[in-house]
Amino acid sequence: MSQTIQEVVRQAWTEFQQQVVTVVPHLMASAVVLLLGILLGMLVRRFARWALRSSSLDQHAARLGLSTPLEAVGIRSAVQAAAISLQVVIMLLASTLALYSLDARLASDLTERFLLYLPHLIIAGAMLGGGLVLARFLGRSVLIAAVNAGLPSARLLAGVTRVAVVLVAAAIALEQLGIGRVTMMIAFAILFGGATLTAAIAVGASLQDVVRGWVVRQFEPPPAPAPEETLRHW
Amino acid sequence: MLRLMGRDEVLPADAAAAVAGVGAADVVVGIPSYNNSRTIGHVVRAAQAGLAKYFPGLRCVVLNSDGGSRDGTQDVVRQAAFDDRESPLLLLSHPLTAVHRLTVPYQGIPGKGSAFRCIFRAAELLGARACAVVDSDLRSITPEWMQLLIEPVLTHRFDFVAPYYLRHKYDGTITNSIVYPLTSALYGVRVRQPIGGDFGLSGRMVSHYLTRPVWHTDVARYGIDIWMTTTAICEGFKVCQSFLGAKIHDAKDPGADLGAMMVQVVGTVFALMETYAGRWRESNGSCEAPVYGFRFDVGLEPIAVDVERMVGRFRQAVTELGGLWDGVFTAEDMERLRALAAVAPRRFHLDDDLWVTLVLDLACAYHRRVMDRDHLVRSALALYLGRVASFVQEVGESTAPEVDASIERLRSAFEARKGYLVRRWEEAGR
Repeated sequence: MSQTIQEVVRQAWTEFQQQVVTVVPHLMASAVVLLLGILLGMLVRRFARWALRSSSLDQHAARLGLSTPLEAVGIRSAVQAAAISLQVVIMLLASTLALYSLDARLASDLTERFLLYLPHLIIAGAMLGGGLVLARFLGRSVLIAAVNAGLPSARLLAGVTRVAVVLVAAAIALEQLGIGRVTMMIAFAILFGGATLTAAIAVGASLQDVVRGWVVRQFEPPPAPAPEETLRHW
Repeated sequence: MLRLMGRDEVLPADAAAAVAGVGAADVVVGIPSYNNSRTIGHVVRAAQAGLAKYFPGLRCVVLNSDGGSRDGTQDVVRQAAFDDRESPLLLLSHPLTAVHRLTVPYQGIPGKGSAFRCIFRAAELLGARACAVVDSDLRSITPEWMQLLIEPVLTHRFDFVAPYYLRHKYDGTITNSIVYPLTSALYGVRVRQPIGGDFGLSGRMVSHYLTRPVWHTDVARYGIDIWMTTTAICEGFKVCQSFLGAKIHDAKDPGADLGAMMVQVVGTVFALMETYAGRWRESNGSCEAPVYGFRFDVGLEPIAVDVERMVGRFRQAVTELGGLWDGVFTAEDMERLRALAAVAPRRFHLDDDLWVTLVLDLACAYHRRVMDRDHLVRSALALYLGRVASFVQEVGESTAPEVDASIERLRSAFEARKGYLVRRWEEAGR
């Protein structure tokens, strides 16, 4: 009995040793690849920042009108954005290589799945980025137009515009990624319906005086009109 | 004539055919229009009478370039013939040839600039030695305007004749507060009404305008006037002004958005600063463009202004748009704007120094593309209204010479800040 137990333990130990001998080099190789990838990424980022700064990429981006959309998605410097993108790409490549060092089949499977999903990811990212840029642009347009028209709730109108556009963009992006399609549709419908109802109540409340005035005017003679401004700017 | 047979890029086919029918002309008077049936008849008759009276020996054409009016503007033009039997004492000698009258639609972006382009192309095809353009909403135009706009071109070899009017002190506020002082300070030539709308041009000038690739920008709209003036000054053409008397006209597109018009005019001024940066950096001081014609005084229609409304807009803009202007104005100027927004309307005063700094900072921000250019200029509309309110309060009791002196002080302030502009402009380029 004890001999059998000893045999089983020895066999297990041997298998464990074999596994360790097989896996540890892979683990170490993968850790080394990952570490090298991180280091290389950091180096490339620094070098890219130095090289691109001397090429005045930010100024070129500003001249091409790219600064505004980049700023809209929180990127204040095109140089920094390009450098970080390079670092991320190198680290992604290093991670894939590290995964291959661990298990080629798993890595291959994951890479294949990732590559199949990548177009959706890119489209969703573009949708969201475009939505953020559009939200900022339209929000600003509404704010300026409302202030120039002398509307009292200019900021509120601009905020509502921005949120509505971002919501629509996020819903489309998530739809593209296939995440909780039904849930997203319902959530969006509830939010949009809520926003519409709130806006309707706000407009109704603020127009109370207008409606009251209109009703009163139907029964009273109209007052003498105020003198019209005849200022000509040209 | 052969040139007229082919398809023209600028003129629509029927316009090209109408021009070909005339053949050749010495003088072309162009009138851009859009729904101006109320006033255009008077303008056409005044132009015809002026051409018949002052240029009886020349072949003249009055050309209306219309933007698709729906109020019968073109019919009014067709019927608006000047009959010298109505005013038998007007003409000293009868013209050798009748003044042709054409009304044609223009093509391209709807706007005054596209209408001018059509007129210029027709003038070029007709081989005109001189061309004049006058607004279709004028109520104060007389036949003498034709002589005053065309004579300097034909006799004194000027290429560009700008109008010089007498206007009410509250009239043409964008000219007085931005366009005139800034343009004079930048390019060193003082043209008092750079966006007046009524100009005389030589054939050489007309052909030069047609070669420029600007007809798909705001120049095709209300940016045309300042573009023509600046181009003439900066490209070495002979420029003068002609004293036309009073300018009384219908309010320009009463329903039009002031913001959009400001974007087109001020945006074009700023865009031209980029085009001619080399020229204004080198220019120092300014001199008045020669004035042609006999100066006299006239009575002007009073203008009603609502100062409180304009100050209200200014306050709201400073409160609500302050965040947008972070990269446009300095912290110190933002502080001054906030302090001004807190002042009661009667004590409101946006002084020359602050106004000049704001305009120059806007120009540099436009150059740097701090934000969308349309947004930038539109956001400044309320600042402009604040400046107008301040100007109205400042000159409320002033006489015409005192108002002129005030505008000249503003021009000098712009000239004095040229160094500041150059510094900030260069910072933007780095």
